[in-house]
Amino acid sequence: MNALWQQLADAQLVIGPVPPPAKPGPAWYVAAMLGIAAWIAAIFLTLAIVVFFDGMHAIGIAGTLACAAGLVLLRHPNPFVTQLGLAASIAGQAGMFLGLGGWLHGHHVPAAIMAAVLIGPSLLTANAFYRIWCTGASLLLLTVSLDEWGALTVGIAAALVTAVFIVWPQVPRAYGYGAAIALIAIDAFSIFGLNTTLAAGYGGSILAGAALVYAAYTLLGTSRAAVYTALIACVAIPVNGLAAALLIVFIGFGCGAPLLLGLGVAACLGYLGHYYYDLSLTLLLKSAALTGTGVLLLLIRWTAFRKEPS
Amino acid sequence: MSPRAQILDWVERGHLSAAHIPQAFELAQVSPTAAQWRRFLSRLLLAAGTLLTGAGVIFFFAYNWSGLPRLARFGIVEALLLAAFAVTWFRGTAVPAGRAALFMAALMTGALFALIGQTYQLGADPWQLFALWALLILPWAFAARQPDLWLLSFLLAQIALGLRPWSGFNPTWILCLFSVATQTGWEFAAPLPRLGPRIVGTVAAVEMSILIVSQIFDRFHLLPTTGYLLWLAAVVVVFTRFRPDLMMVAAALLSAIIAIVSFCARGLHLINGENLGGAFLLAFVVIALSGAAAKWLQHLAKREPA
Repeated sequence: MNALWQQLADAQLVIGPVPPPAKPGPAWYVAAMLGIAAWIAAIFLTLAIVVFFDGMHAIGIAGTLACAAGLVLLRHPNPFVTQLGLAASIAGQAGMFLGLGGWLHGHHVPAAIMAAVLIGPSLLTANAFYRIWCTGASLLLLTVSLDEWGALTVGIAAALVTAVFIVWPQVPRAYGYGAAIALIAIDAFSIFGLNTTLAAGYGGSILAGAALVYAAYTLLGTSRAAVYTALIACVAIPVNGLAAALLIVFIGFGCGAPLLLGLGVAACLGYLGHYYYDLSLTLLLKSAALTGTGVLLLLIRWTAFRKEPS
Repeated sequence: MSPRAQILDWVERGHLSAAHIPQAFELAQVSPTAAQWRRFLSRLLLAAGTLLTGAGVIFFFAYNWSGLPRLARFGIVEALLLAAFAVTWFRGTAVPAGRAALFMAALMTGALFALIGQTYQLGADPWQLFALWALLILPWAFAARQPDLWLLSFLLAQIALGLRPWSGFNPTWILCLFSVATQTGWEFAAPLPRLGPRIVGTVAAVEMSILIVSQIFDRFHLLPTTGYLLWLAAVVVVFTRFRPDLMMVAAALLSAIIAIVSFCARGLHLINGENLGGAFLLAFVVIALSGAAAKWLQHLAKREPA
């Protein structure tokens, strides 16, 4: 990376010698394996907290302590200690949520409080998986707290993904990945008909579409791209999740994040499969929405890229 | 580390001001060029347009609109099929438009089968439709060497095998065998690019995990359990020694962790609610195993050529 540093130094963006290389983090598949394993361990730890402590208040206090202890452990470089920290902190968060539920009754207010509380721990650690988890869980809890209007949080998640990857690239990407996963999960909830109204679902699609148009305009820098994406976003409104998936694919390519690109493609295929079972529209209407969007995409390609070499 | 990641790392460590990120990105040319954008958008629009249009046509025939005469229904789907073939024929499978048209033809084949079954009530089971569909598009996948067609055929075969009643056989075991056989074939025939074999390998790992967990908690059979252990050993040996791909090893190790924890959970009677205190112990087992697996994978990664 000496050449890159020299380039930056020539442009007077940096001064001094090349900094020592950072310790490389684990590959994405190792991080994913560790994350899933920590999540499984957290389930067992939550079970242990529930069994050992009597009453929701005690569970809440134990959860808070476990979350704090986990955050301290997460600072340790040893992978075993980090795993323990991750599991303890996630289990602690579950305990806190249960405690809040017992204290306040119902699930709307505890979910809203937990959604706000989770922002704190994610700022206190540099662990990427923990940041992804906290961001995703916070957005999902916000969706739960808004109940039938929860699909509107699609807008917040879409804005967060766009902000992290395009507007403020200095913000760690883990927050953007967490928001992208939440974006897909919220849309999946809408498709399965959980906690949403049709209007909220369409509202979510419109907000994700707006983020898509902004991303296209910013990354490509032409108003023609914005007009085309606006057209696509309008037609994609009835196809729940499509605008969000396209936004993720778009940002994934434009910002050099192949994992995000893969996530968007997988989400797109998943939505299409589940769209078949969406009971809010007849198959005829769904067919019209899909064919209309598909033909529009092909027409745009034909218009915009007719003269492109293959 | 990519130049983009390097710049962001320097920003995070305070060697470069966040205000200079746009200039640094421009100097390092980390953003896609106009030509790369055009190529990407052209392919994205083509792929998404083809997929959505094809799915729309399938949804339309699934609606079974009684107002549309039988002849018109067959006319629409056959005309689309012929049009897709014509585009493939004239453009060839070397260009994206030709490949997209062939994929559309594969989707229309399924729509045609569904329409035949819907109209003539042949008495065939749904799994037969999927099996026939998978088999018929297989030669096209062979001829065009098109990974998306391979994956479509694999998915359809999985659905067919999953829907088919298997008397005396564990259906998950059948699915596992099929996925492993497909992955093996793909690894030998076209190991690069890795995306296709990795997708099939991940499906195999998920199915193998479901199989072993069901063996542990439900009914134990020697053959599937032995098969699982052999698969585990084969994945670790093949993908560490002969065809280095640590992602496949990570998937197998995660499956092994799930198997070991399930085995311990059964031993501790955790699932029956008799020994919930054992949950604490199990959490530590998962942490220890995953930590060890990560250390080993990182050790292997250091040995791998860059």
